[in-house]
Order: sequence, then C-alpha cells, then structure tokens
Amino acid sequence: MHQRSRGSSSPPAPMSRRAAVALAVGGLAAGGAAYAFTATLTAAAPKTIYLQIGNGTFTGGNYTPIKGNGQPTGSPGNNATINKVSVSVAAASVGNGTAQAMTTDSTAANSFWDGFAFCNLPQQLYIGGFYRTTGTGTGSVSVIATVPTSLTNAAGDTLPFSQISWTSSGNQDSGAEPFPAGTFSSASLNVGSIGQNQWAESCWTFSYKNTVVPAAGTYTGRVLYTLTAP
Amino acid sequence: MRTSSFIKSVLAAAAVAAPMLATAESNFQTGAGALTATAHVDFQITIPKFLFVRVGTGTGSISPAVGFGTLATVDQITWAPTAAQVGTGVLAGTGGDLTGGVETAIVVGNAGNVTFSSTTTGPLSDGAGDTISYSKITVAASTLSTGTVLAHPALADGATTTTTLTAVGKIVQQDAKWAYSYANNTTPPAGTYGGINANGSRVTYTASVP
Repeated sequence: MHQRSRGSSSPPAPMSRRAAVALAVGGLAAGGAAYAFTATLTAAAPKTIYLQIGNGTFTGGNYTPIKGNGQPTGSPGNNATINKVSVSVAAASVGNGTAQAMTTDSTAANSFWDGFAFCNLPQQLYIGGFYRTTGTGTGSVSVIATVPTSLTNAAGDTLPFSQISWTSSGNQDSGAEPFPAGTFSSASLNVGSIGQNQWAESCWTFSYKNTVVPAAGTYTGRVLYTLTAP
Repeated sequence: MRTSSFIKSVLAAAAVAAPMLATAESNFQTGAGALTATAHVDFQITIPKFLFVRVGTGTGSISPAVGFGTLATVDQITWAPTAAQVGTGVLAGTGGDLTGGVETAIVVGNAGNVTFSSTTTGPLSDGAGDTISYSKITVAASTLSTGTVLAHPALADGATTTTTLTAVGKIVQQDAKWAYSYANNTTPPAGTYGGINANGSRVTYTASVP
C-alpha cells in the first residue's frame, strides 16, 4: 500500500492535508519513500466504487474524516458534467513537432478525499476514485479507457487520438502516480488502478503532439473511462 | 491569399453489461455483485486554416518541421557573363539562399488544392529600351525534402502563369530546390537588365486557397 505524501492511512487522522504532509516529510527523513496520493479506506458495507474525472460530486462533506462505522463523512454522487480538454494551435506552429499544452474546462481542483487543492486549473484534469469492499483484501480494479481511432471535424477529416498524451502529477505528490502518464496509443487502454479499500487520485496534464499537419477545422472526440469491480 | 515576391519568402455512458451501471463524470455504484462506473472526457483540437509560401530566404520548412513564419527578405539572382561568355549558352545564376542561383521553394496549406502562380511586370530591361525576355530564364526543380517536387510556374513577360497544387487529404506540402538559369543564346546590347525591384526585375509568386 503506497502511502501518499499527504493524508493518512485508515482511519485517517482528522487533520488538514498540509499538516499530514509535514508528518509524511518527517517520516521520509527517517528513510521512507514518497508516493503519489493513495489512501487506505476502512472496509465497510456496502461494496462501493466511485470514479471521478473532472468535475464530480460529494455531498455533505469529503470522504474524510471517516466515521467510526467506516462510512465517509460525505456521500459520493453522480455528476453528469462531461469536461473538455482542448487546445487551439497557432497557425505558425501547426505540425512543427512542438507539443501544445491542452487545458480543461474542469473546475475540479480540490480532492473529495479531504478538500485539498490537488489539481491546478486549467492545466490539469482531476482523476480519482475509490474501491471499497466489505472486508479486507489485496485486490485492485483498473480504469480502462475506450478510445476512438481519431478525432474528427465537421467535414469528416480526422486527427489520430495517438497525437494526445498526458503527464501525471498532483500538488505535493511525489513518486509513482496511481493514474500514470500515457498516450492514447490503442483503442483500449489501462490508465491506472485503485487498490482494494483504497482512494487513489492524480491530476492529468494533456498535450497535443503536433507532429502532423491536419486539415483546418475543429476536431472533437470522446473517451470513455470504465471502472469495473468484481 | 498569400503572396511572395521574387525572390522573397513570405508567410504567407456507455452501456456495459454489468449488474450495476451508470454513466456520468463522477459516478458511484454500490451493491453486492459486480459494479461498473464510467466517465467521459471530451477532447478538442482546433487547427487554423493557413497557407505558407517560401521562395528563397525565409522562415519555415517542411523537414525539419520547424513551423512557419513571415520574413520579408527578397533574394536576388544574378548573371554577369564575361564578354567572352555572352551568347555562348546556358549559365547558372549566382545568389539565392542555397547559393549558385538556387532557391528554397515551399508551399504548405491545409485547406485543399492550392493555386500557385508566378507574375512578372514585363521583360527585364536596362532602362534604355533594351530587354531580355523572361523566356530566357528557366527554373529546374529538384527534390528538397518532399516526395512531390514543387514545380516552378513558368516565367513569362508581363504575364501570370498559374499552376494547381493538388492536395492529399486537403493537405499540400511540397518543396523543391529551384535552380535558375539564363539561356544566354543571344547577344543583347550591353547593360544591366533588371535590378532590385526595378526594370521588371521582380517576380511575384502567389499561393491561394478558396
């Protein structure tokens, strides 16, 4: 179980994430490794999965502090907002091989784990969630991206999705991210995993490779992310 | 429309079989059986319509791909045969960004076929009524980096010669090395014909898309 550099393991202490970071840093001084953000949940019924990419919903508070019965303070909810990641390439730069930073319209900067300002907007897109079971275990679940071959414009011209890649980070994170960097290199792509009874989150920064000269137009495409628990 | 002057470069929720399923951008599922939660992200890349033409010294190339810019430098190609050479046959020019009377030539566009032309205002003249026809100047195109070599629109006195560059998937990316030669098969009156944007010296290259 990777312990992130902020937050704490189950049951999490009712402290601010920044305070927890100070503790984690102290631990590092003793020889520990730093990891990106994952946190251990208390096993509790019912079995629950939660996936959030961009904007999400928690009502009544964040997941922490966890109650004595293992239940979160806030309740995870459904949010139908589909966020957009976009870039407009300058004419003089089209196809010059210099990656173009993409931005998001997401307003989700804070983690619903503890309200920490985790992602930087508009550069980063939040991805996170949890997998809680009724008992302990060492399993994990993966998030699978289903990717169209190309983005398309109104005239039917195409731009390969493989031109889009991303890096992964998070404020005060270090070490391996649960949802690591990648490229839309195939139609079905494992983009990260969540351990059993774990909260995991990262911030994705997308970029357009810009190694081709496409026909003029606005190209769009939608990626589906699926989290499945047995 | 972008214009280039001789010899000038110008920039011119998905349904998944599972006992519990929902589609949203945050999505939670509970239950004893298998669970599936989904989310989406929309991606958008906007590519502007652009057209780039370069003849000679300029900013931009296809390979290496360095992007495109505007540069107002106009190159000059010259011939200065010795007295003994006059009228004795073809002479390569001097000058040009590739030297030896050779110019880099590039057209890139992303909006379909490109109309590409050369225009002169008349024959080269010496200012005293004597002329050398542009028909005496030929341009040989050879490979620079692209498979399709950019052909040179023939030069004609006081006229425009137009060609069409056929797009592949709405993209035109053609370049070439243009080597300018003077036929040198006549004996004109002594003098300096043309100049720098004088006496019919300048050729304007124009690329356009609808």
